[in-house]
Amino acid sequence: MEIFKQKLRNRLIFAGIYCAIILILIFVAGYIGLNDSATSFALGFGVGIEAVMIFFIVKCIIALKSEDKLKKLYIEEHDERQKHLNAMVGGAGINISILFLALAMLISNYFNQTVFLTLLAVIMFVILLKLTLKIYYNKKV
Amino acid sequence: MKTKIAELRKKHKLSQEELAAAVGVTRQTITSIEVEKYTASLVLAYKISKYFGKTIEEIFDFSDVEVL
Repeated sequence: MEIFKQKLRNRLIFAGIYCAIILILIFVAGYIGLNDSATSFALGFGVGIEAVMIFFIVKCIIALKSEDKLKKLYIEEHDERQKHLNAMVGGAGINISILFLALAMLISNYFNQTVFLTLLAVIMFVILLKLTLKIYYNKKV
Repeated sequence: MKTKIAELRKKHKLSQEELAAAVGVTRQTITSIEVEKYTASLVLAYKISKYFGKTIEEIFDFSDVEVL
């Protein structure tokens, strides 16, 4: 359980650093007057992830303060059925994403060449990533 | 896969939650195994069997498993 505690502490450090960076970026963007939509969206996206991080920070702190909660979190994260579900969701999720991206790519070809090429690049990247991961895990497991 | 987990739990007056905590899984995992939606890994089958003081074969029914 000590290893898991250390893992949680590391997560807290990582989440803290991330939150600090986002806050600094918001401050800097405000200070130098970056108000364009791209910057606003990027910062909004960062803040959204930060909100999720804060949720996990609270979860980690609560678990680190109580042995019962720590055991519960450990079981939640190491539950074999949950791992099996995650693997199934991940595998199916990528395949379904590729299918919908391919559909969108075929439709976009009739309207906009840039969107078509972007989607084609995304599909190629996802397929390449999937193949790379398959080869990696095939050798690892 | 059919198992005798529910039967043994009742015999030992154990809740799913208690058994789950004892073998280090969630209650949902025990439920899924009991209703034959999920097949326990070898390690989990070993933990459950050890917990009840029985062998794996005494708890898990392998009669449906095809040996090619």
